[in-house]
Amino acid sequence: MCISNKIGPPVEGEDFFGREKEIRKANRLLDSNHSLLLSAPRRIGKSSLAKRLIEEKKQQGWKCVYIDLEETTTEEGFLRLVIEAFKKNGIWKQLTEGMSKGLVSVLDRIEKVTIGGVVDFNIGKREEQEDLYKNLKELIKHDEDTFIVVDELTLFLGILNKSENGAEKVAFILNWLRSLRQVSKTNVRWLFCGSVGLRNFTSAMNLGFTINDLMEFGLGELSREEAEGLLSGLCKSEDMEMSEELINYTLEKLHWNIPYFIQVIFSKLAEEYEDEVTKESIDIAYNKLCSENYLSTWSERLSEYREYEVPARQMLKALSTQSAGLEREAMLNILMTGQDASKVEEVDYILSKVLEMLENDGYILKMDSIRTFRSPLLRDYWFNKFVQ
Amino acid sequence: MQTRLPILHETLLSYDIKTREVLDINEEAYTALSSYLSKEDVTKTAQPNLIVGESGCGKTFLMKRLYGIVKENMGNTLHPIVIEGKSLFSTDDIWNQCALYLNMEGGNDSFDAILKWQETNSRRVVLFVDNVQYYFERTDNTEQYGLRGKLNRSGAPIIIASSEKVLPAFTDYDAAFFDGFKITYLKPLTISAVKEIKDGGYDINRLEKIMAYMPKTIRSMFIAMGILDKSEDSTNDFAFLSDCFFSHYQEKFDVTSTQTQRILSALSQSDSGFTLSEIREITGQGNGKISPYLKLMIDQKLISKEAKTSRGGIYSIVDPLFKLWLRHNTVTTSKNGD
Repeated sequence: MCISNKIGPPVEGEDFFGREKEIRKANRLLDSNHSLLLSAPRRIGKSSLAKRLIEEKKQQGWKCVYIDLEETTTEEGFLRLVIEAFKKNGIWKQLTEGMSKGLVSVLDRIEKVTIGGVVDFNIGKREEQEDLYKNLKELIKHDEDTFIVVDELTLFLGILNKSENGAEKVAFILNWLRSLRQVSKTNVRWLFCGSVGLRNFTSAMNLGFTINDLMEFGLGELSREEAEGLLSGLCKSEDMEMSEELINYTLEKLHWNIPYFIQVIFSKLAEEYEDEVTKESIDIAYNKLCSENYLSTWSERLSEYREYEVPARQMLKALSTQSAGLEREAMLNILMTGQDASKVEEVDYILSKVLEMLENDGYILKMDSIRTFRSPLLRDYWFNKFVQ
Repeated sequence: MQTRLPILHETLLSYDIKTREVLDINEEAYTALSSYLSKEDVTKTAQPNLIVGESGCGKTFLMKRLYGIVKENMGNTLHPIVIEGKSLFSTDDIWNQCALYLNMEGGNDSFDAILKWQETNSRRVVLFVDNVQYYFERTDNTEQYGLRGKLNRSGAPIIIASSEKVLPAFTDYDAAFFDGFKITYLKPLTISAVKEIKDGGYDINRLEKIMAYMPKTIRSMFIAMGILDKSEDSTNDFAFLSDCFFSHYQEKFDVTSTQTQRILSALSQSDSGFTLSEIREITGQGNGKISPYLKLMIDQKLISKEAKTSRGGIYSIVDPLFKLWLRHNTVTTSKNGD
C-alpha cells in the first residue's frame, strides 16, 4: 500500500484510509433503502468518504453518480450538471415505443446537452418548468440499484436563494429532489453532503419537510487505530521510520485526529526529515505549524465581532487551555465571573450568540455537549499567543 | 557596454532556459515540488500548491525551474502552461487562456476541451499561475468555488500558484480554498546565502552596495553579478549599473517637462532630499514655478514628500536607481553613485 499525502482535495483509491465504521454504517443504511444527509465541518473528509462509498457501491454493481454543485450558481447550471452526470452513468431510460411525446422531446434535449449543445430548457415559465422536471423524474430508472451523491447542495442553494425569485427556485428544487426519493419502490438512494448545514438552511426557509426523510449521518475523527494506520502508511510511502511510540506521541499532540491534520503534520515532518523522526522533530514540526503566520489572521478577524469580540476572546482563551473542550455551563461561568447574578440571562444570550458566530466561522465545533477548537493547531497557537 | 536590461522583476512568461541553471536558491522547495510532480498520479485529484513569499524572494524563479523540469524531464506525462495572474479576472479566464496555449479556441467549454486534450495526448496539464493573488482579489467566493470544483475532479489540471501573501481567500472558513492549498513559504532572498555567489568568490560588500539600488530580486542579483564580472574595481560599479538601465531611464527622463527635469537634476544631488526653498535656490526658480511641478511629480510617483520637519517638507527621488542614473547623466560633478 502506498498512500500519497494530499492536503486539501478529496482523496480517492488507495489514498483513502480508514473510516471503516462509518462506511459500514452508510452501507447498512443505503442497503436498507435510506437516503443520507452528511453534514460535517470543513476538511473532515466528507467528499473523500462519498467518493469511497461510490467505489464500494460500484463494486457491488450499483450505478453511481457524483454531482458537485459548487461548480454552478444557476438553475440552468444545476440542470446541466444533473443531466450530464445522469447520462454519463446510464441513469436515464432509453427511448422506447409508446413513450409520451413530452418524454421523447426531453430525451432529445438531453442528448443535445450531453454532446455539448446549448439547449433552452424553457424553465422561464412555471408550467414549462414543472413539465420538464416531471418528465425528468419519469425518465430516471428507478428499478436499478443506484447511488447518487450530491455534494455542496447547501452552498448552491444559498447562492440560488440570492438570485431573482431565489426562494421559489430553492423550494422548487428541494421539492423536486424530495419527489424523486418518494417514487414508489425506487431503488435510487441519495447522499447529500455539505459543510453548511442543510437542516438549518431548510428550517430557516420553512422547508424542513423537504429533507425530513433523510437519515442524518455524522463524521468525526478517525478511530485511534485508523489514525495510527494512516500516519504509519504515510511514513511507509515516504520511506520514513516512525516507531509506534512516536506515532502515538504525534496523535496525542493533535488530539483531534481527522485525516487533514494528520496529513498536515506529516507533510511538515517529511519536509524536515533527515534520518529519523524524534520527539524533538515532532515538536519542532508541530510548533512550526502553530507559528505559521496565516494563523494570526484568525485573531485579527475577531475585530469584526465588534461588541462580541471581548466575550469571544474570553471563550477562545478558555478553550485553548482545555484540549478536551468545555461544557456550555463552564463557559457561562467564565463569562459570569465578576458579573452581577441578575445579568445571567443577558450573559447567557451573549454566550449563545458568540458560540454561534465562532462555530459558523470555523473557530470551534460542538461534539455532543462539548465545544473545542476545530483545529488543534489554532488551539495551540491561541494558547501560546494569548495564554502562555 | 551591451547590457540593456530595464526589467528588474522576472515574469514567468519570459522563461529563459539558461537562467534556470545559474542559481540554486529555494532548493528545498524546488526538490519537494518537483518530487511531487514526478509522483502525481495522472488520474487522481491533484494537490493544489501555493508558493508564498515576499517580492523578490524567488517565487517566479522557482516556478521557472519547475516549468523547466516539467517541460524537459516529465514531458511524457505532464504538460506545463504558464499563466500570469494579472491577466485573470474570472475563473473562465484561467481555462480560456489554458485552452489558447493548447491551440484550442476558448469558450464556454474550455475546461472540457482541456480534459479532452489531456486524454488525446495522454498528458496532464500543469498550470503555473504566477501572482495568483490578482485572481483571488478580483473574483468572489462563488467564482472560486467554481475553480475548486473543477480542480477537484479526478485527472483535472494540476495547479501550482504563487502569491506574495496569504490571502483571506485561503484562510477564511467560508472561503472556497480554505485550507485548500499546500503552502510552501519562501524565505526572503539573502545575498550572502546564495551558493553561487559564495563559490564564485564575489565580493559580498560590493554586491550589497549595488543591490541597494535595486529591488531584492534574483534578476537584480544576476545584474549585480554581471557588473562585478566586468568591473575591475568598485569605483566603476555604479557607472556600469547606471549604464545597464541607460535607455530605460533616458526615456523616462525625456518624456518629462523641462521644469521637471530641472527639479530631478537638483534632487539627484542630495542623499537625504531637499526642501522647497533649497530646490528653489539650486534651480534658481522663483515663487510659484516649482510647487505645481512638485505636486505633479508626487502624483507620478517620481518623488516623495516626507513629513514636515523643522526644515519644512523634504522632497526626494523615489527610485534610487533613477537617482543614480541622474547623477551619472545630468550632474557633471558627480563621479560615483555612493
